[in-house]
Amino acid sequence: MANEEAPFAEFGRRLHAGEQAPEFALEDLDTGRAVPMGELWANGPAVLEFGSFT
Amino acid sequence: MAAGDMDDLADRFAGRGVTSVFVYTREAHPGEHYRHHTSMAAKRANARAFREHSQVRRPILLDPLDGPAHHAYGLLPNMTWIMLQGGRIAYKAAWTGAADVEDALGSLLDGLARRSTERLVPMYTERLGWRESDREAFRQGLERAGPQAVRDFYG
Repeated sequence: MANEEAPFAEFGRRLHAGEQAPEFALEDLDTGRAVPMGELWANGPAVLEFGSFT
Repeated sequence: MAAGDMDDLADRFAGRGVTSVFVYTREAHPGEHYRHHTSMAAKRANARAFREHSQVRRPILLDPLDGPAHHAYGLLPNMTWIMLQGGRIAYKAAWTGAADVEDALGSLLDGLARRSTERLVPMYTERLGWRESDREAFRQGLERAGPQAVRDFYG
């Protein structure tokens, strides 16, 4: 069975609450528009869930 | 992942000025049916298949093919992050548990509201949270991706 624990230790070592979130441009699936991540939290809090189909 | 629970949460908090999105990353467990993306067209196709299957209602935003956002935020398959207005990180979770996200978001918004009349300042905390784990649904997801995904995970 794949080791499910290893990546989580690294997750806890970087980017912590209180720090500034890094920004990248994402692509809106519906419109194709480039969406700067900063746009998500420009006017209020933002919740970002990361994932994929599989 | 329970997209419906997170969609319901997004609906409940939209009226309080919270933006909720789903960031589509590389495939966590690619298989013959849903392969590793070799183009943005393939990534879009998988994201559309995901939306059709899961009925996710939040906007889906695609990380570029080389996954810069996914790498920067920790490369885990189903993280959730909450940012304050302006981009300060307020919450990070290695997996998505809707109840835990709701607890954190509610506490955050309550503090922001009370801060105007009470002497509140932010503080750093860490804790272990809880999420639901459905091993059968997980295996079904691997099987949906294809036999290779099952072999890769279970050996």
